[in-house]
Amino acid sequence: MITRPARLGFAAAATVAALTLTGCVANNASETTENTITVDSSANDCSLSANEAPSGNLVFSVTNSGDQVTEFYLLGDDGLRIIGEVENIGPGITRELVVRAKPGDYFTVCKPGLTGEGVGKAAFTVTDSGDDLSFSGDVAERVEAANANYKGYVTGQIKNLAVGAGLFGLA
Amino acid sequence: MLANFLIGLREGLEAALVIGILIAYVRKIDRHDVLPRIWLGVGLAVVISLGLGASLTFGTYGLSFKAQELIGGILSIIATAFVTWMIFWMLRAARGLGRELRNEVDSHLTGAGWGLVLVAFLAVGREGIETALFIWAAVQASGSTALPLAGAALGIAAAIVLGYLLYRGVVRINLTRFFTWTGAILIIVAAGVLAYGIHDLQEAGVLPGLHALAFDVSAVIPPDSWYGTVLKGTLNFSPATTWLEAGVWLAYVGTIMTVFIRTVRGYRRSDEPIAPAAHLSTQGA
Repeated sequence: MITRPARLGFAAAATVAALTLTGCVANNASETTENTITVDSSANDCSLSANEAPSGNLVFSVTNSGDQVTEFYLLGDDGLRIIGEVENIGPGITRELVVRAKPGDYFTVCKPGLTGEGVGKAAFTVTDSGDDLSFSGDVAERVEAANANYKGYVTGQIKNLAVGAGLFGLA
Repeated sequence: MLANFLIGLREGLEAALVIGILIAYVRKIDRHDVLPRIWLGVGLAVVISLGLGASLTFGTYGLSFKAQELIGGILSIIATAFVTWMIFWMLRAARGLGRELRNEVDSHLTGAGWGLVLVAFLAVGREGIETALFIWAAVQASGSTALPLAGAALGIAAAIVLGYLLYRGVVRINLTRFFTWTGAILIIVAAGVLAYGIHDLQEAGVLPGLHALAFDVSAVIPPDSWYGTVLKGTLNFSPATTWLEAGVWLAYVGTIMTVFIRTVRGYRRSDEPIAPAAHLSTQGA
């Protein structure tokens, strides 16, 4: 007999699997439109090997040379919206942030110690490489379908949760 | 070394606490036969996380930031639902035990056996991918220095030891107290996990209000300090908490804790049919 929690669990596993598949970005950017930017996050600075890159897949290879845990953020042109983030970069560790960047203005910042506004906030420009970043044909449709399924799933979960909470409330 | 140790400790602590309580519970009701199921859930979570983490680190494809936050956020919210279910299931089963109706416990266990696997799986797997990515990054760094990997491994080991100590501690106390205390602890832990999930979804941009902070005490409780780590690892306390996180946390604790306390009292009352009324009223506090 498959119990209700088990079914919920399978749904959860399916969601994660779907996200893992649809949320993938190429690690090895050199095969497509490459660009690896090295970032050095020290105690009080956040220096990038370049402050400009062509649109497409960008790899930020962030090395922590300080002695506190650090995080690296790629922020939108408002300096607030998070485009990409790598956290848990312990001292001596290098971690990569891979983003599919569209042309525009961005900001980069490191957060050693994980608090406050961060250090070394700098403007970062993504120029138009001419690459088409939108999904085409079948892929676009599949993403659309995945999004619709996912939305349905989340709505279902929340309804379940609401019903469950209501029952608890009555109990 | 210390910083990496603290990351390992933080990522492992909460899972170790939940698993510790779960095992203590199963031992308490003398159902050693379901222990393998719990370990199955833990093992699956570890293997899948490390496997996914390795393929994402060394393989052709990495995980986009948004997907990673979505996975962490959604698994956290599902984990909250399961831990909540587990708390009330433990209470129901305990009630059967209190009346010495052993087959009632048994019937709950047969229905919930796979639920236990899932609780164990989610407790460990919730942040498993993030932890695995961190560990594999430490492994990659070990070409130049082994310190990050040693720190991370020691941190996770320390979390497991703390989980074991909690298990040893709670397994000794008497049954009624056991359920009241572990239930209350689990509700607070689950509320933290829920708030954490909300924060992940805020970071992914699915939910708004990432920069609307209810409070920011990171100056007093630095997240990279040892006490900041312990607070984060056990209660998921974030020194910089958004209004949405705080609201969801309060709503969850307010609702579930109330229901929990009422349920516990209701069970106690029905277990003591001959208790005088005066005795009952003093029991309330």
